[in-house]
Amino acid sequence: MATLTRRDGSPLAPVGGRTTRAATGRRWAGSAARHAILLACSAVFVLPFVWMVVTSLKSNQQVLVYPPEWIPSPVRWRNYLDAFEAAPLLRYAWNTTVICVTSVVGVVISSTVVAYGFSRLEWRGRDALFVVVLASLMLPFQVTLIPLFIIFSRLDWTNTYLPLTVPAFFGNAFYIFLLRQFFLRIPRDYSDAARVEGANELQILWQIIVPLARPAMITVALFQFLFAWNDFLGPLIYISEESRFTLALGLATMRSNLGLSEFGQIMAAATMIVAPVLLIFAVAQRYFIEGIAASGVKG
Amino acid sequence: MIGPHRVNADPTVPSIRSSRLTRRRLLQAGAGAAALASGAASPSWATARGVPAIQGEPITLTYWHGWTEQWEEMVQFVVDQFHQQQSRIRIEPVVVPVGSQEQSSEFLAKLTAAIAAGEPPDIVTLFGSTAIPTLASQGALVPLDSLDGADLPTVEAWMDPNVYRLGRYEDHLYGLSYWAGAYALIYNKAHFAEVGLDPEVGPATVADLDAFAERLTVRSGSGDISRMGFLPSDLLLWGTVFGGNFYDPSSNEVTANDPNVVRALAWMRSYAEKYDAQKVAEFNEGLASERAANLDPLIAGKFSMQIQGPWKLGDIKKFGDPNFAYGVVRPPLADAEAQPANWTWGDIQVIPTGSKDPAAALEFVKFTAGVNDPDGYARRCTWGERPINVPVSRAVLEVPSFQQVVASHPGFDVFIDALLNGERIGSPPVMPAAAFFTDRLAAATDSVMLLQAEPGPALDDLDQSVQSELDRAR
Repeated sequence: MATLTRRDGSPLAPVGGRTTRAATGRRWAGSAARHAILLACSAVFVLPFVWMVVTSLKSNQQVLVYPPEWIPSPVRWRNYLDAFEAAPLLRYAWNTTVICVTSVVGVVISSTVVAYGFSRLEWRGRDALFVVVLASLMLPFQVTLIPLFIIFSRLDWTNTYLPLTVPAFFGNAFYIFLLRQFFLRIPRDYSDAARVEGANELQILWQIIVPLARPAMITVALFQFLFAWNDFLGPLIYISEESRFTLALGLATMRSNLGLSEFGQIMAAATMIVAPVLLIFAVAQRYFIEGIAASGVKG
Repeated sequence: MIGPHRVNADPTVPSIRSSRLTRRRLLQAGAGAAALASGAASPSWATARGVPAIQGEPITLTYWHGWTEQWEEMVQFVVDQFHQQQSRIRIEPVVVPVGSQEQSSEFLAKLTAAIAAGEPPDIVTLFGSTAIPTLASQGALVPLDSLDGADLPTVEAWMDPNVYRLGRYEDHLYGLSYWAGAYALIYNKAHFAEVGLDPEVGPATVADLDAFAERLTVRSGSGDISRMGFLPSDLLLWGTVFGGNFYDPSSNEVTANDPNVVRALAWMRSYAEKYDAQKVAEFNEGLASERAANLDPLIAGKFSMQIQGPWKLGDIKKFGDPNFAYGVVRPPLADAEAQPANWTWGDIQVIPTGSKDPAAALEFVKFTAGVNDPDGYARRCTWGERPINVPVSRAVLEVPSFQQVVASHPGFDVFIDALLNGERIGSPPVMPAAAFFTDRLAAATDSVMLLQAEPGPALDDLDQSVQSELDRAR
């Protein structure tokens, strides 16, 4: 370690070492404080999940005990089997998956193409039309509910998944906005260079923009997946046959509207419903955060 | 528990329609949207669907209801009994899982969309009667008295008058209730004994209730409430108990600032003052966060006395400690001289405009209300051999199977007596703004109980806002 000397040549105390230790200590303390705060915040979000899992393993009597008991005793795994007997959860899961996958594919393809048109191509009225697209975000579902239902009814689409999936293939204002913001950050030189090489717009989109915009597109896919997985009102309005119910509707049929429910079973079903979402989020979270940060949009 | 999924094997049931998109259908959709745009200002829903079935021809009717979990099985039981009684009309029940009355706006959204599109169900159960005036005033419901075979004098003679009126709006009858809600006070006998109260004597008056509640409430050293003796929450009930009225149908005036309603709300507020509104709010929040929606504070011993419906007796038997000892008394009187009062509501079967055979639908509606079928109705309204709500007719009280359920659930008789022999029975105001009124009333009650508003001004404000909404709706 280099040592500093006074003017008289006597060595100074190795202040560098002390400073390093002090700085390390400060950094450690800062890091510990940050982690403590983060842990406390995450506990607020994690506790309901923990409570859900714990309750899914309790008997009806233990659910109602006061003060609440965190450890199920005895552990009642049977709630999970009972949940499958109480409702055809696998069928509901399949129905939900069909809607989710179809609408995710539709939304990603259509919103990408539309966002490309709004960000990378110059045409008259582009910005005005973009404002109109954004304005459609302000319309609550309740306002468009009856007109849309009438249209789908005339098409003979009610009690099918078409009203829940086909609109996804015509773009979604929020996702178009999110992708447009991301596309704007990609230098125009890339597109210009491709054009010089003779690429058409579809080739530019597919070979240049899409690979660069992967985080944003995964973000869109995740948002849509979460929305479709949890959507209650859409399936409630359009689906009237129990064998076509989604998980959100199926879970609602398990909740008693008169008196107490079989709470252990409901929590077991809820745990199974939430698990795939958590898994997908865990796998894709890097892209998810990257996409949100890059586009400057929070969901 | 919900039974296995039911597949309708009846050949008369229309199969799920083809989802193939054709140019004609696209054009029809465009025409539909244009028709909607041009007729947006018209309140009329009347879009007749199909041709009414010829008398006697077999017909399948779609029946929407919101009963979930085990109650879905009860609906199937009712439908099966109806099928056993006759063979012409088949009922296809469809659950719309909205869960609770609070979510009924979602149910109504689905229903109004279906009626507007001309593909309504044939029969619907509405949770509560508040939606009837709104739907009826828009022409979305078929008046039962307009149908052949309605025979309303017989129906009226069968039903308790307070329950019968739940389906009425402006001189017409739009629906019949399956059963009737009623309130009573359930109390924990062990808590009574613990504080030296006689476990066999519940509070008879509001003054008793206040005194008992004070003795039963337990606070920790820091003043936090660990057990609440009693906490009033429902102004509709207590306003009626105190002699108030919320609406005057003869003048179409909202009267929520009736001095007796104000008195009731002031009494409710006295609990927030006495027990510290902040501590009470924390106590309530604690219950909610600890147990989410399914908390049962009475069974858990967090409340010593609670106003409840008859279904709670079945819950206590099913979910409670086998040694849980409880007593049931009518809602306490406002004072020793006051009339016994209660509040009722119903789950009401109605026929939407566009129903493909309203006369056939009426048969099922009358069946659900048990008209002149005391034995069958007794089994249906105590499905699972447990108390659920109060029957709509006194005739059921004589049926042995019903008496057995009463005998095996101590306190059920108190609910029945409180409703069928009560002198003042309130029910939701019969006006188009009824749903808005109940929302506003709940908000006003909350703000008073948090000591953010005084009862008089809060109810004056409510009166004004609901009256203007009502005037607009009319």
